[in-house]
Amino acid sequence: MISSTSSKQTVFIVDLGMQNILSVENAFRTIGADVRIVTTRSEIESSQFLVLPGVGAFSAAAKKLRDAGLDIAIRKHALENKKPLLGLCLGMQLLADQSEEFGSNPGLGLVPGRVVKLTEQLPQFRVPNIGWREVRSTGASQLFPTTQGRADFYHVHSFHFECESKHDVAGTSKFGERDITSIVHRENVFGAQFHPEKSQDAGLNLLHSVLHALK
Amino acid sequence: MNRLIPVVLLKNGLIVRSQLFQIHQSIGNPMHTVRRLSNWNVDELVLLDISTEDFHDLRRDDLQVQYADTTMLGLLPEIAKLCFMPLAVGGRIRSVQDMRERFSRGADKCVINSQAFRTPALIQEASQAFGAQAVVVSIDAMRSADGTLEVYIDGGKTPTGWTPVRWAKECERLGAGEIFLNSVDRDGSGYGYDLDLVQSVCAAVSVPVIACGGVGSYADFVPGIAQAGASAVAAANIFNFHELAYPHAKRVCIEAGISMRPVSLETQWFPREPRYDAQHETAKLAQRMSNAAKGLFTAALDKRQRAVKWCTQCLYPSLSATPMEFNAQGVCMGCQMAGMKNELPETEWIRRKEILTDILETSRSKDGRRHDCVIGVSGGKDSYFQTHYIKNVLGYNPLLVTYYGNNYTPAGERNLQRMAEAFDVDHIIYKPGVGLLKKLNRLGFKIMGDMNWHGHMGIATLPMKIAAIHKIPVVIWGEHGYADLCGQFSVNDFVEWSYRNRLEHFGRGFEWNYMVGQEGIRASEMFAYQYPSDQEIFDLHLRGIYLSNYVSWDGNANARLAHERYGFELGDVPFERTYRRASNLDDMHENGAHDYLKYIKFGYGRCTDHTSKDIRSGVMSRAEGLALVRQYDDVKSSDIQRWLAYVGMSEKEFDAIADTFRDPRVWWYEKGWQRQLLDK
Repeated sequence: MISSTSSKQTVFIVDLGMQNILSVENAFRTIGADVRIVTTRSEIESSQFLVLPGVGAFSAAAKKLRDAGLDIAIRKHALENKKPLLGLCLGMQLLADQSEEFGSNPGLGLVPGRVVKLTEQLPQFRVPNIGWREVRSTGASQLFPTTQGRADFYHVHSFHFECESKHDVAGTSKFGERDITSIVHRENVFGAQFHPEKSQDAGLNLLHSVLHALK
Repeated sequence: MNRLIPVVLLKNGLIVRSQLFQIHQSIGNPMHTVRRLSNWNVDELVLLDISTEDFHDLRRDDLQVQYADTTMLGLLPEIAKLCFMPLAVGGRIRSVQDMRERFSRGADKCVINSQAFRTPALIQEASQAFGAQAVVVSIDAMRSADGTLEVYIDGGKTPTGWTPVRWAKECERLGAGEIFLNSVDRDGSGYGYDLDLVQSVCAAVSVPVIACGGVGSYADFVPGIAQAGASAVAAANIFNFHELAYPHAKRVCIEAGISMRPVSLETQWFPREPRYDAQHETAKLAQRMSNAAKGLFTAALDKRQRAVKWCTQCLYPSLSATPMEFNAQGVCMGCQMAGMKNELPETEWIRRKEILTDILETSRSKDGRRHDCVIGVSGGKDSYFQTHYIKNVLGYNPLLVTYYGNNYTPAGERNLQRMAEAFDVDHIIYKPGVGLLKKLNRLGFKIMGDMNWHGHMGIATLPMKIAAIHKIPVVIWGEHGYADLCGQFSVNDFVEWSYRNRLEHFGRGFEWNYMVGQEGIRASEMFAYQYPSDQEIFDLHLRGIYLSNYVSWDGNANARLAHERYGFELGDVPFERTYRRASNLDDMHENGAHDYLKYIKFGYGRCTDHTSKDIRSGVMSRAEGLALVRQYDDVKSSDIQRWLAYVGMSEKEFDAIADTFRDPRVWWYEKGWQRQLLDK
């Protein structure tokens, strides 16, 4: 699975200044990519494989994107130019049309659906949902190619993504009685609710596969 | 899914083994250990800095793994680079700002303890600033003689008057995301968790509880979850003691029905053998050679530091080749541990012998198609004792394995060849090609100031490798060198052989593949130094045990037994750098050129090791020892001439390169080399 260094790819990581992106950076370097940090519209416009990480509140992140005009650049990147975009954790939720966190907030609208609060399922399933959870492949995406169609990933979240189309849902995990969306994939846009950069081999394998297959 | 969490305790930048929160023995460099934990896909890592001052001492210039910064905050990003699992960081966190600094350097969670108790609002502030998931409150509980439990802070020193249950509930109310629950009186004991303590706290709060303190065997993890209800089980010491302890512990938990992520070995992203940046390493070596030629090196440039102190009982210096710690009275850990060992009662040695035979019984060949165990032998006095004990006392059929480094003294050579006859056992003597050996001698000297890298790595690899090839699950080693010299482990740890120890201590961080490409060396030539894979070791349950943990061990007595009963010869020519005549006959440079380089690096030599051991075992006074050290330390032994001719190097070049390794804390230049000396 390790690619030759001759085809070293560059990933462009959006830094909203809201959290530490060190571990996302480390993860991509470990799988053999070059990393560039981007903070402006023009940098996004000249990027190729774009990563939108995120931890924290949806509303604050969405506002940061809008204020800097990054939302327009990211939409153009993904919709018009059809370039690869990977959203991680909150970055995955930002792909949605809207979120109900602190009222209703518009997202990037790249994967149809909305972000809603997780409902507590006592006693084993608490909010926030923290820890290693098994994610099962729905078969909708070739990019979650684990051998048994499942892998464990490290989750930390209080909201989850309800997709409009089940074809966009590539992986789910159990939260109480229900299945919640852990991976979305729609054409050139991919998102993971969990932290692949904190999920050991399973996470690095997924990043590697997305990096090399997403066009 | 429940988690199994290794805890790494750091003190002044090095990993320590802890007992009762008071005794801290230095285990080694955190980078090697964290790399190993990443190899094994651990669920999470808790990193606790228990230093009281911000000062790191890596001690040596001849190691591969180094980091420039001397503070915990400087070290953290280096560790975080190796962590693709959640990383919780604790120690000396006093404020939200302290936490922010750790998050920005790669921590995912912060662990707070004493300060949370002093200013509980910190929990609230932190939880609001970073989210509850990022705030772990660590609670140290101590059980008093009457059985009551109380929370202690300040590293177990200050009682608070609170019960763990009351304090845990308050932490949860204030916004703690997790409770890390440690038992002070079980710390380092190996008695298992204080299950009543864990259960009482788990029942009182709904946030996850991580149990810690007391694990002595893999089976101890299970009741922490199954009986006491912890979400995660943690331990520190055990993961330092046994090879593949993490995957084995996980296997035991999963087999007991606990839901955990499966065991995963040999990650493709973190190969066990480090990958070296050839360009960087070549440049580093070129720099050292250029410094040698110009006479530029730290000891020549730095002001005199005079930073060395000595043990008040033996002659060990604080600046040593081994990771040494001292207690408040200035007594070194080596003396403390030797004292502990000497006090073990006869009944305890009987118990230990039973443990040993239990291990060997699991390894006994059922059908005679293989040997019962492997013994790594050099042909020295300890090799004779080991073989005597395993074959002629316990009655097993061992396979002897020798790495032949081509430096035997004549007496050492005869002793080696005599073993198959004296003991009537099978003996594999593995001789690497001499051309390769010469290259490795030169490279070892230039890269790390030690021509015997090949010997240390060959000895540390071949017995395990031969065992893996023949599917023999137990390898017998003699003494744990560091446990013996510097008390690195307690005799109660039953420490076993590990890859980490092999690479970090025997190889100084330089794995076999480091040498590939240098002087035209090919990978296929390095067979003797290629260690079996983690998967092979795990599947075979291969373990390397130290006989000295099970049998009362005395080097001088071993020499007598070997000589009187099996015809073992003492050295026919005395060594020039030490008075002992029965040690290291397998390698004329080990007590000569190699030891001279130790003196160049650290300002002391083998005579200090030998006198210190003899002082500890009561056969020599400290004053007698000191006189011997004075006599032998400065001798530049004549075997250096053989070595120079062997590898084709001039003495001038040898001296110049050697000087680059002088440690400025003991050496300075003032009309010739001066060093700090022990007066009395």
